[in-house]
Amino acid sequence: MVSSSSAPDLAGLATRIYDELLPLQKEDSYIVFHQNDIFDLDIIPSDPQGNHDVNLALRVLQKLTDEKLLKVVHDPGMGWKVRTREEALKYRGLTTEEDLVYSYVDEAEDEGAWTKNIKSRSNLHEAVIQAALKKLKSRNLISEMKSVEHPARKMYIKSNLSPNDRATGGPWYTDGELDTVFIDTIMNTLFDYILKKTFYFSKSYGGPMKKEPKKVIKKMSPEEARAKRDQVLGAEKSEEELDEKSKRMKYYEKNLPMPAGYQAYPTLDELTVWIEAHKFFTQTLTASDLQQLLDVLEFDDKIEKVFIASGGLAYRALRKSMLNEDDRGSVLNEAPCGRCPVFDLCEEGGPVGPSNCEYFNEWLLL
Amino acid sequence: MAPSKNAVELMALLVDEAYGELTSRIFTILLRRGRLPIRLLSMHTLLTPRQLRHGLAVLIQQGLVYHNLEVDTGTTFYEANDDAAYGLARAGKIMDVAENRFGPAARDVVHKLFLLGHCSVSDLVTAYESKNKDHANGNAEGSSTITNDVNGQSVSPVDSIGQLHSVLIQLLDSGFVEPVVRSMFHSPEDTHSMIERQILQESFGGSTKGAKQKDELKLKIKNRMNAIRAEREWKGNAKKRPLNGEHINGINGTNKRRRLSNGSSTVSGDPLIEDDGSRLDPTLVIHINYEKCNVALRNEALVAFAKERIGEITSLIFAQGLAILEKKIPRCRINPSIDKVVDLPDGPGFTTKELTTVLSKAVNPGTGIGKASSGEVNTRALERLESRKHKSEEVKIEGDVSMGDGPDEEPTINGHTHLSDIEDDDDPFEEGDKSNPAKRRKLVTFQAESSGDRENRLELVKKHLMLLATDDAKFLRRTGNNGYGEWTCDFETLVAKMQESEVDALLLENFGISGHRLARMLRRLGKLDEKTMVDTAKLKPKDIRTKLAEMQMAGVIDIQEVPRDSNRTTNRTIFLWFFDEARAATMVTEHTYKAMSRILQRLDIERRRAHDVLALTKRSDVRDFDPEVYLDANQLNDFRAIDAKIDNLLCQIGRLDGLIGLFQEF
Repeated sequence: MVSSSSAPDLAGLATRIYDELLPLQKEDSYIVFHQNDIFDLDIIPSDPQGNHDVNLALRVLQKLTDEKLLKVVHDPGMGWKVRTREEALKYRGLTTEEDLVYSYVDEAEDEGAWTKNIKSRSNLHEAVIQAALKKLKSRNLISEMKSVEHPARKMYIKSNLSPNDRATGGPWYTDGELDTVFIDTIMNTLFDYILKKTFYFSKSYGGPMKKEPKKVIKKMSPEEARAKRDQVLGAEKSEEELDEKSKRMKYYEKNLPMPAGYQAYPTLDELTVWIEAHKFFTQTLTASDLQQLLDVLEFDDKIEKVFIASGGLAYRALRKSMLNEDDRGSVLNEAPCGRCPVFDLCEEGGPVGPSNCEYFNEWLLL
Repeated sequence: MAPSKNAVELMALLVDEAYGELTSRIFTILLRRGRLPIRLLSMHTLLTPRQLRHGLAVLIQQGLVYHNLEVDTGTTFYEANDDAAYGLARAGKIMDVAENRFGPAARDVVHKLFLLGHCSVSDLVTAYESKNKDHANGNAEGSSTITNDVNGQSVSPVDSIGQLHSVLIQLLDSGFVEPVVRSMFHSPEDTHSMIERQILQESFGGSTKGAKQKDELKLKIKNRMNAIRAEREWKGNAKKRPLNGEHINGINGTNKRRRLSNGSSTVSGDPLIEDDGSRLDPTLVIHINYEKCNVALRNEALVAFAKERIGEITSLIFAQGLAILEKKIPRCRINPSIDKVVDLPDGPGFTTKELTTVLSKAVNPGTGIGKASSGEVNTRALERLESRKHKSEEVKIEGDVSMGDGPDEEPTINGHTHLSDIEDDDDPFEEGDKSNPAKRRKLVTFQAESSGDRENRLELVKKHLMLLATDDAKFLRRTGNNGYGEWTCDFETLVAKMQESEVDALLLENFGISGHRLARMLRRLGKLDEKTMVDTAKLKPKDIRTKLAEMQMAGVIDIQEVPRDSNRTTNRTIFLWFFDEARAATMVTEHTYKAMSRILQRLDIERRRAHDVLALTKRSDVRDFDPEVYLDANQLNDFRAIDAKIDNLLCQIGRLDGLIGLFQEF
């Protein structure tokens, strides 16, 4: 009998083909094997006429597919992909429906499969799918996941995979939520660094001279120099008596801009390396990640781009970013009207007006 | 453009504050209803013609109302001059500028002119004469509160008629005060239509045919308008005074030098003006020139902006540069229907050398910029600078210093390529700063007589100018290389940048960091949908949605619906958010107008509440004394309180006016 002579042959052939294909699949996870590829292995013997024995091949491949060691894919025309033995084990003991659902989740890989997609592609009834998902979940084959892109979708992913960047939103998301605290921390770190590199802190700078300077002294004797220094130091002592605000302003005034064409403003690369070297964060942040944050800082009007001679872009801090919000505000908001919640209604003779304005009372009594 | 409701309200209040209710009533009606003949005016104001004539006389005297006699019908139409009305809010600032530049005497004269509207020189003289006489009787005018006794002898800072003339000449020279001509009493539209009619009659026999003739007509009108405006320019015809007529239309190189020397005397010298013996024609009629004053105020605002962005020292140098430019700029905004729009890319400019010459010695250009080692500045550019130096050296040897084109007009890409050659050892913060004069001199060997100091100062000033030019706001633009670099200022872009920054400040305060971020993002990137914004702004979608809604309610940003198909269902529609700069600016202006009106109204209320005390201080027998002398303790406290309140309110009006200036006039 043909079948009896080829039966043991079938298992052996299957194993040999599988062993040949598995390393190839491991090398390139996207590779799909077609009928020709199988014949090219020269494992399946030719039929008496010397042609490819399609029938035999079919039976061998069917056997592998039944054992879940191969999975059928459509990549134009029919093709197969190889599963590892452990992977194949998971498929055993699944019903046809469960098998189908699992294969969709499996196929979606790290992007995750949306229940609605599973349903439309499998053409199964909702209840069947739900039951299958439940079973798969209980066997720990799949798990739920959340996608940042589509937060409302119910999605599943194979348990042994973690969602990809598009689904998690990259380093800025923690558990599918935008981690604003983390972002703010990095932005502040970046900004502090840029700020430090932007300005020159001069201890001696005291604003423009109040009086006309005397004729330039050619050379100072040591005594004169000392007297001058004492003067300066004395002046600094008296500064301590200044109130909080003027002290702050003094500090602000002493941060001087760098000359035009200054080349040492930090660039993106420098910042990336610096962040990486200091291990501020456990996550590794790429240059493009940081670029996004630098853009945000720019939108916040805290830093600006400068072109440097090497052709690259560097960043420098804006001077006003050193002031806190109390020291810089819009003129319009100084008077009560700028912040008035009922300003639209305000009119002399109306329900609220300048004569009965409480905000004005408060402001004028300050 | 017709003034908005808020603006009308404010102007009515301003006129009321300055000249009383009668005038304010007439003025408001004119503002709201446009031009009116006296009959209709009487109908709307419910005033008798007699009262009306009184009010109109005052308004015309103050230049607040235009009038025009229509020859065909024989009726005179009156029309409100809203610019002048708004100018009333700015009076304090203009007086301040005058004082800063020309001393307290000028302030007093400007103040007088504000009170008198337009008047002839002889009237002004009479006013001062009588005032000085009155003062002898202890009965001086109430205006003396602003004096600040310079000589310790007289209450008025103007103590002789000669001084008055000198002050006036200075003011006329600077353009703050201008001679009054007949055409000023007509509204610009009337003048325009009158000229049009004339020209049509003269040259085209009544009507134009075709586009070509229309253009011709336009050009002729423009020329005529220009000529009319030139009429009012101060020609400096005082006796004993060198002619100085070009200060307004100034792209005239020959006069630069002398003007500079004038400039330096006001900057570094003593602001007290002595009688230099020159006399003005007593029949000359003068008034305050708001347009020119705005130029001065704009410069102040720009300097403040430079101080905020770069630093104090740099801003002082910038101020000096603008002061040079100011003499060549008659008004902030050019009117395309009158001014010849010159196609030249560069406006009036100045050179580093000019600037350094007039720069006050109190400004030390060696400070104010951080120290950087030469390795940190662009060395390639340094080489280029070096080669340019050689060329300019040759030019100097030929004695061709200020004329001719720059020898090597390089494109100034971002400006930062032009570096000054400050050396490593040149630490601007060192006291001595004399460590290596030989090395420095090596760079500047061509100028035999000048010391290294002078050259050094030039270089240092140039460093600051470079900083101004490379700033993102583009305070200056380099146009050439003569005189250590020629610079010009593109006011339009700069003012736009300032407006932007002001709007930003407001957004930051009203909508917090996230609102500020979103608005700036929309401005930069254009229209965006919510998803993109979440990605770019790094904010939570929920927060963004609430913030956007909040800002939309406030009218700062708006939403645009783009349906994806013809059904226009909500879920097939893209919603795009956008930020309208112009609308935000209008909103700021309107809010400011309204806030100013409210403050003025509140001021009136506060005054009324404290009527008792204020009335006391205004009594004719005590008003020359210090209130402390005659008020008892309680009254004095009340007086102090109300005084502080009034100060607060007025000061706030002044500050708000800065915003109006920025968004409307500059």
